[in-house]
Amino acid sequence: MLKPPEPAPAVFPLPGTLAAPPQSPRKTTEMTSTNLERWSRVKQRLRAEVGDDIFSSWFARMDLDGLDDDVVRLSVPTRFLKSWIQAHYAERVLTCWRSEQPLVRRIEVSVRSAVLRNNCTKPKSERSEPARDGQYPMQSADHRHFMVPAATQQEALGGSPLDPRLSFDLFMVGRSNTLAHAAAKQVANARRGEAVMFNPLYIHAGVGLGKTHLLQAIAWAGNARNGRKVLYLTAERFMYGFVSALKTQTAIAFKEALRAIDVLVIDDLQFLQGKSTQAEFCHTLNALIDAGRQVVVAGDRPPADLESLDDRVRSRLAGGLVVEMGSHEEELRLEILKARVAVARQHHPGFDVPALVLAFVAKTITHNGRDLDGALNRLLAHNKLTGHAVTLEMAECAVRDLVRPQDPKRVRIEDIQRTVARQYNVSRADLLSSRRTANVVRPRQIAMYLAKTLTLRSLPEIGRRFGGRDHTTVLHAVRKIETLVGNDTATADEVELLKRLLQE
Amino acid sequence: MPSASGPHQLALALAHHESFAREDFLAGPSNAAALAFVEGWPDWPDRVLALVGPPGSGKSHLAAIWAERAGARLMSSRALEEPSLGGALATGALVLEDVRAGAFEEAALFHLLNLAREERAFLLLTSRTSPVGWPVRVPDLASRLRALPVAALGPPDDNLLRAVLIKLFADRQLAVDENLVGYLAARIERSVAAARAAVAALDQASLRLQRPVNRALAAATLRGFEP
Repeated sequence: MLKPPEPAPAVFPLPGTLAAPPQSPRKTTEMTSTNLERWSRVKQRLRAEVGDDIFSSWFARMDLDGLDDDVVRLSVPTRFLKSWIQAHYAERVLTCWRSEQPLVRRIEVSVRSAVLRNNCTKPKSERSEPARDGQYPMQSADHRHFMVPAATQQEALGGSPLDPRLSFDLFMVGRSNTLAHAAAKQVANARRGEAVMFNPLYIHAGVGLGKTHLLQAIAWAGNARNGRKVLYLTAERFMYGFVSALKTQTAIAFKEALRAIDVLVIDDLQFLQGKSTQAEFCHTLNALIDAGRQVVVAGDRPPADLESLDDRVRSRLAGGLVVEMGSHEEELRLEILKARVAVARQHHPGFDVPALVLAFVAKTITHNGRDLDGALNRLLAHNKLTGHAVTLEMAECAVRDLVRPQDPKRVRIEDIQRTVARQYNVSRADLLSSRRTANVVRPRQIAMYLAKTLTLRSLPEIGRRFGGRDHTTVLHAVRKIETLVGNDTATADEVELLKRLLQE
Repeated sequence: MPSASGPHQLALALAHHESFAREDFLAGPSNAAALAFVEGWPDWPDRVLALVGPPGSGKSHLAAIWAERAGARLMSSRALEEPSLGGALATGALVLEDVRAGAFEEAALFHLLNLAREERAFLLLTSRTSPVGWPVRVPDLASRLRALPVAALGPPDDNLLRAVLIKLFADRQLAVDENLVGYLAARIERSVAAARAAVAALDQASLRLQRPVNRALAAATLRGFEP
């Protein structure tokens, strides 16, 4: 059902300075010189209005794609820029256009990617975007002051996008990660030109213990400090993007861009594969370290255990400071949960999680930090769907699958008969027999009711399994117990207990 | 075909249209949570969500409803391979259908999850089993899958089963009475798959024997149909 794949030239199109994208084939028909001139005047107006800094952060890479009657079509290189501009500057841009061209009624901002550039016949799909994009929950405004320099820097060098939530402020420190946190802080706080203390800094930890958080925090903090340029790349992006840029562009352009970087941060090194990629990585590593630039690397195991890497890279990685982050201790898990709930409440204000529930989750979910996210996702989902407050009981139910990862057990009629018989102290044969004494009839009816509700079996099938009874007998039993459960709390409790016994 | 039962009309296996429109989705307690997620979009607990339920529980129908709302593309998990990923998220929303435990390319799914996060795109997975239990070799993928919020679709309750039967008959342009529906609902397994099979068998029998779809025909058909 997927439409034929777009002609995607590279998995990661690299915008910006490293790989100057092919000049988009402008639609010369509508891109008259008058329009271009108007656009440049609009930009001047904008710059005057918002100031140099904001202008170069948000509008420097905005292009005019066309001007049809009353609609101005603009494009920016990333989705993030687009939604930011739409959310904060749409009116301003429109006003500036109107003062040049009073007929303009609407501004359309689209994301230009390598795909769209190569395939200019698709403005329709771009046009359908704005409606949906307005829905994206935007980062809160207080991230703004440090996102401006960081985001643009990051994008210009083709780095991996940063998640604004992964800052030092939200990184919880405990016994298991004190050292890694201290080292990361030190790297982030270093000033340009200062001697590098440990190089490279290699952080390793199991999955979901906060490596990426720490690394992105370095990128955020580093970029927030004037003059320092931090590039955050996942190993994947390094492989697909960085190296292909290295191959296709002149080495000079690459080295110039590289020289401008003060800190190179590489995440998930265990995914780095391929001989030539490794060679390039090693080369980059050496070049940066020799030039006194800081390199930070994270992986899921110590350098010596990265079997896919060759010895030179491993020993180079182990040559600086190697820090491990251990499993989160319970107090740390609790702190993490508190922080995550606080973040979630920004978008979902009604999401209250009592301390008792937090303590329960911190105690039960021991696997890793990502499971804590999973647990909160489940609580949030339940809370939003049912509108019920988060309680301990609800939490137990919601995170059950994380504690015991298996799909709900298929209950069989034989299991039901056996469990019910044991519970009421009769034999299974009694349940199947034609005996009609009260001490057998009630358990039999309950067993039939459970067979109907817990299995998918049809009434005739259940009747057959209960000593060849008619389906109307089963139906009668089911109705009878249904009524009792509704009216009599003792029966309701018994049935509830049996259900729990059977589903465990 | 036994010749004793007389001449038979040949029933052609003509495809019939099963509607995937929102107004044709039958809501019930077993799918309330999943439906609420789809209706509640984009107010999701996460950008990625898994719809999990047995065959015929309405995953594809819900996925189609969401795809319509979110402008999502639909992609079979069999088509999951890395080079196709760039285009897959182009509309900012994607349905990855029928992910089978242990039968997908792990690297591609991992990459897709990361890409969705980076591009701030929405992704809806449908599967018969919960992602928590999928056997996955890449630890990073396993932990991401465990963190996904899951909306489970259960087997239908009796009321929903009746409604499903009526809808399935209606999809075949057969108007049936309450009596027949009750008769069937009591006698088939409580699953949409069983309802679908029963309705198909009845429809075929009716065409073949040129008899109306009613209780008598159902009794005759089910005799050969029950386990």
